[in-house]
Amino acid sequence: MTPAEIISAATSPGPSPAPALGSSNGPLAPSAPAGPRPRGRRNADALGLVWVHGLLQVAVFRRQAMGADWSAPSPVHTLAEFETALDQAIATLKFGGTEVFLILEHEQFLHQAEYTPAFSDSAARAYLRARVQRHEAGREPVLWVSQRMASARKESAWLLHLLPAPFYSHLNGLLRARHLDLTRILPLAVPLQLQLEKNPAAGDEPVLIAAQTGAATTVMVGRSGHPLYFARTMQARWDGDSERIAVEINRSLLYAKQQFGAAINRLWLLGEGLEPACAGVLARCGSEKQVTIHHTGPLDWLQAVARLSASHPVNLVAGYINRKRRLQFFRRVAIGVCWLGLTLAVLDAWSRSLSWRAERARLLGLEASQPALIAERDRLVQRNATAERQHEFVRQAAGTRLAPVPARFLALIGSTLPPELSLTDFSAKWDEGADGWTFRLEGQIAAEEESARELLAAWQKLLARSPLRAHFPEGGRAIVPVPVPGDGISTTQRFSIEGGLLEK
Amino acid sequence: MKNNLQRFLRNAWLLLTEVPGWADAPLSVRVQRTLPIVVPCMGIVAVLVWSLAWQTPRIRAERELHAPQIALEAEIQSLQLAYSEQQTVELAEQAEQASHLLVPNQAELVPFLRTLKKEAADRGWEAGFHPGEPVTEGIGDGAQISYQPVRVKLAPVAGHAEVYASLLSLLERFSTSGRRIDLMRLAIRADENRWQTVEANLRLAYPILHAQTSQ
Repeated sequence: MTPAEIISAATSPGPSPAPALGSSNGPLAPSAPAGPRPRGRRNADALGLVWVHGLLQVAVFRRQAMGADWSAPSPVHTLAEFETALDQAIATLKFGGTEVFLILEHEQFLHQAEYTPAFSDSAARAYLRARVQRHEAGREPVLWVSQRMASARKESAWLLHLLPAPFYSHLNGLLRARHLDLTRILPLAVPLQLQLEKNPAAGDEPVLIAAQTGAATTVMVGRSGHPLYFARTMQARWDGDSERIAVEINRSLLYAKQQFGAAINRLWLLGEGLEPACAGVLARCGSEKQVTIHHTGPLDWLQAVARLSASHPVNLVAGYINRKRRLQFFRRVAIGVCWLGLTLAVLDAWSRSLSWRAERARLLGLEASQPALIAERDRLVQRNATAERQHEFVRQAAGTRLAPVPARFLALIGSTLPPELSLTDFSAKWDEGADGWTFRLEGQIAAEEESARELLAAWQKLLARSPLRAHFPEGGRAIVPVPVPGDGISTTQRFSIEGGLLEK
Repeated sequence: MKNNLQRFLRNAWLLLTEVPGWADAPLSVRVQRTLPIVVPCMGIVAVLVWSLAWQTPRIRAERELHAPQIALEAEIQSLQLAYSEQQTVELAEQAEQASHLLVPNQAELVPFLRTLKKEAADRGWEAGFHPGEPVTEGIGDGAQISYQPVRVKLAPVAGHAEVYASLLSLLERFSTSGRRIDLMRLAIRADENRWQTVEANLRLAYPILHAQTSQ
């Protein structure tokens, strides 16, 4: 099961606010809200909560701009206290939106450093998933997300943020019972790191941040633009245990130098009224260190994370958000398709109704004019029959007329006949069977046989090239010498030619 | 399969009815949430029911009632498409022109042949025209013209000097006479001194009676 899947399963929406995930504690039924909460108005507003080690501060955000805020008057440690405080906050702030994001540090919210071999990111996540599953074995399931850390070794270092699923389910149930949609759960490391990123004073050097977080103090070492070195939380406050905190800060500096080779010269103390603590820190850590006090607190952290996308990699409920967005998208598409379908169906029905009205009017018109139609039909039948007859008559009378080919052929013969040739017989006729013209020519040639053949061949070629395109079949020509008394050579040849004409 | 269907239906129900931030919304609110989808779906169903159960049968019944008129209209359109009015006018003109090519009737044949004989005589030829049996082209009622074969014997008058040219002129006259004369055969026999015989087979056309009456 991937982290997204765990989150998705744990936040699966349904009639019951409890997730589908099994839990040894079992889902806690959300208590009813203190009173009716205004819904629908200012629905785009978001409610930011910082709940860190007993401190609860709430602020309303409208388009990422912070509005009214509220602080819990007493420490909030348990979910029951959280529920009460939440109702007070909502009532005081008159919050009407649905979106909620939470910066959480709690004794149940664990942060555990893990080292993986130098795998690819996906392989490292699979490795971490296995580690989480081992962690869950015999315990309760968790929502988890991994955050890459700086590593001085060959292995990759990861910080696992582990939130027990029953705790999350109860928390989410409380919010859902008040029609609030939890879109982001971020560990405190995220806003602290953002503070480091956005502050130009950080430069490129590693910085140690010590932030007052409710009943505890969180120490984080990081470098702008780089993964987190490490973070730790100590149950001590500046106003009571400043000496101990200074010692722990110094130990953190030594640890950073030992593990990462990072010499840290800049120390940022976050919170109000920390000026007296500066001297103690300098005394413990060395007077050459540059200690800066930043008057930033939970509301600044809320302001920083309000700009973050719900798909931030360290958001524990990013999977749920993605699923919710997907569902919203499908729902909008479904609504759009349904209304579009209805519009098209209505338009189609309207268009068909209009065309049917027109057709019906036409049908009634036809019914009324039936006698006229019958008369028109009869007239057209007669007209077409007459036209058909006329067409056939024209075809028979003019279309089948034969061209005067015999006369043209006679004229062609007269104009091309060589002077050595004389005709005794001319015949040209239409052959019905062959659907063409045939001819036969007989005559004499005043020349010896060889010359006569050449003369006749040349004449035939001339006739073939003529417009009538005479053609001569095999054996269609015969030349016979005219017999001469005695043994003399005949100088006159008889000939006959048969052939056809392609002209019609 | 059954589980998959149930899961699908459950997911579809959740998709349709999920109220953001209100996981355990009561059924009435969930039903309200489905309205943007259910209302158009019901509208589509209503339109389909109206169309299929009411309008379409009504249209079909009306069309069946007026089927004879529709068929009559279609027949008229088909008849109109066969020939346009312009075409019928042109065909009438062409038929009129074609009828002038024919000998009006069989009775007019002899006077027409007499005219041809005179034409031949004018060109120095003694002509004899011998009509044969009429031939009808086509089959049955489709034939609108008949052919009258005519055998022609031509002989040049004594002392005719331009026999060849006058024969060509006469044959040309046949084809340009204004009437349809098909020269089917031409046979000429000659010897070294003179033309012996010239024979020709002509085919004249005249309309047969029922075709003639339709013109």
